[in-house]
Amino acid sequence: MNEKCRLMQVIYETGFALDDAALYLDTHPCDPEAIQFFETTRNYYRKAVADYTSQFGPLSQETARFTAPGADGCGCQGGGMNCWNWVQDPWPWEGDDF
Amino acid sequence: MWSYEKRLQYPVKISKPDPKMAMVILTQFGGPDGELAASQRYLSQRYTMPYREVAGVLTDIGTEELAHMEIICAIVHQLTKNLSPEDLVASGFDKYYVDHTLGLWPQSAGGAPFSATVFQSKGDPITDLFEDMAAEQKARSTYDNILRLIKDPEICDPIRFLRQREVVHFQRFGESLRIVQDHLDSKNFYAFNPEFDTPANCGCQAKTTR
Repeated sequence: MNEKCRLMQVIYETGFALDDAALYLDTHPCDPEAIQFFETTRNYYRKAVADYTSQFGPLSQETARFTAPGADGCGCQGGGMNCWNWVQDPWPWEGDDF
Repeated sequence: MWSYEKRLQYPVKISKPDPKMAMVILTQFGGPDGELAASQRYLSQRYTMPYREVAGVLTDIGTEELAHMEIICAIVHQLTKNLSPEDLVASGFDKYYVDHTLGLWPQSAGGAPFSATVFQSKGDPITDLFEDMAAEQKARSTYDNILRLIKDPEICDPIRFLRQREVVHFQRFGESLRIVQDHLDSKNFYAFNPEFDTPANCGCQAKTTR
C-alpha cells in the first residue's frame, strides 16, 4: 500500500469513528469515556488530513492550495503559484483514486 | 462527503410571526422552483459530468442550495412561532397545520407535495446546463414574486440575498456551458454526447475527455 492509500485509509477509519462517536455523544453528552475517545480520535484524524493535504492535495476548499498552472492549460497567467487547484484532482465518485 | 457547520449561510432573525407569508415562502422549500429541487438537480447531475471543473460547479452550487433550503426553513419556522388556533384559521395556515402542525414539510405554496419530476438529470451536459440556467431564472422570478408580497424588512433581507444568489449561479452555469462547448466540436456541439459516446476519431488517436 502506498503512502497516499495508507493515509486515506487512516482518514476513512478515523473519520467514520468520529461520525459514530459524535452520534453517540449527541444522546450521551456526559460520557467521559466517549469524550476521551472522541478527542483522541479527532487528533489522529486532523493529523492524517493535514499529512494527506500537504502531500496529495486538498480534501476540502478550506485547505485548497494555489499551485503552479497545470500542464493541460488552465489558462492561468504568470509562473507563480496562482492556480486554484481544487478542481484539478479526481472527484471521489470517479472510482480510480481512492 | 459532507460535514455540517452550525450556522446559516445568511442570518435570519424575524421578530413578528406571519403564517400567511410562511405559506407563500414554503414553496421555495418544496415547490417546483424551490431549493430542495435545485440541490437534488445539481447533485444528481454531477456524477456523469465529464469535465472536472464543471463537476466542481455542480458540487459547489448543489451544496449551497442545501444551505439555502436551511435558510428558507428557518424563515418559515420563525414566521410560524407562537400561533394561536385563531391565528391559524385567520391566516389560512390551518390546512397545512392539520397535516403537519408546525413541522417543516416540502410542498409548494398551493399544497402540492415535493416531486422529483420538477427537475431533470438527463445525462447530457448541454441539456443539463440549459436546464440549470432555466432553473436559476425560475427561482429568481419566484423570489421576485415573493418580494412583491412582503412588507416586513426582516423577511425581505434574507429573501433578497437568496434572489441575488440565483443571479450569480445563473452566471456560473453560463460559464460552465461555455467550458463544455469549448471541449466539443465548434461546428456541431451535438455531434456526440460526451457523457455517453466516444467521439469518432477517423483513425487518429482519440482525444481523451477524462
